[in-house]
Amino acid sequence: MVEKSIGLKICTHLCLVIGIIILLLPIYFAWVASTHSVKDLLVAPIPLTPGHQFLHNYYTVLTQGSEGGGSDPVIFMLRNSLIMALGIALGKIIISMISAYAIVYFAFPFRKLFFWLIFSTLMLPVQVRIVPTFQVVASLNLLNTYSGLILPLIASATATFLFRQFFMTIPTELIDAAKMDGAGPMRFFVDVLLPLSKTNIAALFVIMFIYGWNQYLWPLVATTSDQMNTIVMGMQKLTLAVDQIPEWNLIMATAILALLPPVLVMLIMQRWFVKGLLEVEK
Amino acid sequence: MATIEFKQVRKRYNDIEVIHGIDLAINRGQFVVIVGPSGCGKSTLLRMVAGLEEVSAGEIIINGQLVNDLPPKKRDIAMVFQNYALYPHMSVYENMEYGLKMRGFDRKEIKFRVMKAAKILQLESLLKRKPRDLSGGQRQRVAMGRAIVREPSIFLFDEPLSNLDAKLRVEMRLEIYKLQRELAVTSLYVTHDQVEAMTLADILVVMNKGIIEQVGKPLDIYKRPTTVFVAGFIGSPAMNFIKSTVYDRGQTISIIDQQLIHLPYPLLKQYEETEIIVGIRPEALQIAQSRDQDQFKVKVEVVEALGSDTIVYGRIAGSGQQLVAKLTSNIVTHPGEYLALSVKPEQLHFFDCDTEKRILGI
Amino acid sequence: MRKNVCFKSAYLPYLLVLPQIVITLLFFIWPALQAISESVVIQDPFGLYSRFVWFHNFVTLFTNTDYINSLIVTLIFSLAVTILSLVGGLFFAVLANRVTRGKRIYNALLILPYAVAPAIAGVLFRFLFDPAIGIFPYWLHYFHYTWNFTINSRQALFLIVIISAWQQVSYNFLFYLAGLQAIPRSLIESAALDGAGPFRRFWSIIFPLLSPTTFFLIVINMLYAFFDTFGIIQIVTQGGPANATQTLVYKIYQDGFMGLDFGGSAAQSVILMLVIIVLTIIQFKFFERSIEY
Repeated sequence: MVEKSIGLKICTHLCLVIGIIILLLPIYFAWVASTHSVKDLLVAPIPLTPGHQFLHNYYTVLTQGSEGGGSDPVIFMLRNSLIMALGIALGKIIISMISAYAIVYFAFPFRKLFFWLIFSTLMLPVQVRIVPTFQVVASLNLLNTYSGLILPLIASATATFLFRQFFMTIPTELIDAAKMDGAGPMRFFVDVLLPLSKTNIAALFVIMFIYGWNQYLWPLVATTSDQMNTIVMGMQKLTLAVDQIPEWNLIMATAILALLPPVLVMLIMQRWFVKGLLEVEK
Repeated sequence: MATIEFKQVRKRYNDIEVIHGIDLAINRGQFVVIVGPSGCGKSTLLRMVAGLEEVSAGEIIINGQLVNDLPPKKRDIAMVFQNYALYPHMSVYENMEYGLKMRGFDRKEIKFRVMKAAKILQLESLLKRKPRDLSGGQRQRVAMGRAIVREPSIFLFDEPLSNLDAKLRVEMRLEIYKLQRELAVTSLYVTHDQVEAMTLADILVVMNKGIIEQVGKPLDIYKRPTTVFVAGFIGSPAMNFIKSTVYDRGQTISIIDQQLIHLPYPLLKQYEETEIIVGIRPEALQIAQSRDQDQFKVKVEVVEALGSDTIVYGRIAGSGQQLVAKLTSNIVTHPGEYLALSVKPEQLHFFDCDTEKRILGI
Repeated sequence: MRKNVCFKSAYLPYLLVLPQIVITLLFFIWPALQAISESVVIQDPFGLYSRFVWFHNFVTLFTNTDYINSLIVTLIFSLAVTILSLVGGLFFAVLANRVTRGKRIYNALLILPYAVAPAIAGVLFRFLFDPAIGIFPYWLHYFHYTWNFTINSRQALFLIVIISAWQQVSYNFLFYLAGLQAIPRSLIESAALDGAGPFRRFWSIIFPLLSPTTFFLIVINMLYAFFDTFGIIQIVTQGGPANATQTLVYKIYQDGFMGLDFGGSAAQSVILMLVIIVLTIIQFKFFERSIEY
């Protein structure tokens, strides 16, 4: 910026630090609570600094779950979440990439129709079509299956658009060169397009992994068996357990475990995350 | 080494015809350059030979075989593109070997050929680099290398030098020339640069608006352009065109008013009293040596002293007719001065006003 | 589209679009059509009989005070979330754009809430605002303010607004930051030479230049508040107390899965689809303009 005064600089940093502390306070308190015993959290005020029950609490939720809430070991929920998140992320990337490839690089009848069909999904988020989608999935016998969890969330107009936009920036001479070199459409896809799309794939992966991991409503509807619970929807059982003194320490340990994977993926792949978010624009 | 034949080749895009019936035969090992302004259809023609564009009508015949419906990879053709079209994620080596891999050559043969090409093009130290780490000239070499490792029977060049700076362009032009003579592969080269065209071509093809204007050896075309377009397109600075009237039973032409040029014999008899286009190359103009010589006065407007020669831009006195003259460098002149210029009658070109075709004669 | 750079194959393109088309038809188009068809019939909870009733379900909806209430709640809620999260995002973006040292860390921390699931965010805030043991009610106690969002409907709405905005601040921050970085330095410098102070510069130059971003974010934030806040509401308030936090999406879920009123739920779905279509069209219309700009 134009001003170079030290005072303004310090002020900026101070504002940022205070703002960030306020912003991240909920996560900090969750962390603190997850390291205390349930007794410490029965009456106000709750402790402001970490306790000593870290290992015990996390071990408990991972292996047994919260007794009072009657939930299953969190480790299984983490597994389900991971399968769902990976399934959604990879599935979206694969099907949207190949369909974008077809739409950009082939001239064929009904191309426009397909394009608009894919485009229409933009207007039909799962929350809106939740009841009929449930009925469709139920009639296909896909309730309580990974396919049932993943497939209704897997078509993505935005990912298809992103790849379409990207493919259209690739110089046309590259395709000519590949043709002269004797590469057919599939070879061109594998040998040229795929390696060139690496950063786009990484960017989409972060966004879609977070999107998939954080799904709540659909897993809530599409699974009835405890074995299929994902961790994010599993929170609901813990917090809504009636007639129980809530075991906040275990609930918070579960919450921390639930938010850790997407946060880590995002931080590790921050560069691609930012690129992805700005380009996908939801 | 192959022959290429075009028979009434046409190209249409949604009912708009851009190439209107091309007939041309190219012999084994010839270096044929197609030159023309942008949009004349030269690149489209090249891409049809490559198999990258469909032929709307007519026949393209390579080595006696009709190739209209043959996909590019079955044509035994290699192509060098304007923007090089190197695969950005592959190293120089991988770029060069890709075409061979696709054709199922074994690894030893691939390596042998790539190393040979790398040696010819002095790319040996760059084989592991990615295209983005190369200079323009080096990229150009890799693009060439990718073509020659294939040892094809035809090379196609689509404006391969237009992305290089002037100095490199001259260098690479020489290299392409030497390489083509060495390999003696039939080559088709498209450019809009007439210097490139003149220096490289065995046979020059001048195209305009989807038709061939003239085919011939470069110097023949320079000396005897058959149309006004060719005359103006080949040669730099471009030829001067002056509308003039023929008198004296075809033996005198009047440039402007009294400024006459006498011809040695009644060449333009059938054009008596009519207007024709007279073409004079700037380099054919000289300072008039004596008063008895036919000459015309030119008012100088701009002088470009290039050292090797001096280019004078001016107007013929008493008219607005512009004229460019390329004079020897020892001539010193300034804007506003008048020069008396003369031209030898045998260096004049005559064109019909209506058809813009050359009038046969001299 | 593009000239002549196509591969040719009779079957390959169809094979490539097939997965996406099948999934789209099966899980998007079919359910949407089903919603539309169900919205014009009445059926009993077990699907034993159904009767075609034209727009009866829609008429019922708009004469139903619950639905009208839910509509108003959604509008207030989404407006509040949008304004709050836009202001927050812009605030952080302006600050972060000024610093050079520690930029990466600041940015990483500021985008962190985005990765937290709405439902998890709900849990975290529920704990902090729990009437019995929450730290905020405890502090508020010193100001003689009684906090209990489980019985006070304003507090409940306020809480879910805070949580939803918290989540969305990161998103807005990133877009505003990108918008700020796209503003040419020379513009700001010339304004400084003209004698405009930092605040003047912000309101007369920077903020107007960010208006495309702002407009885009308003649409996105509205969509978010409408559709992606289900988890927060479900975890924190379940639409209560007294339907004070029952948004339209939450009502679809409740009527469909709890009330088993498929016709009414389907009619609500159809209305929401129209809302999205309108918002999407606005967004695209705007985009066409912004491309020229």
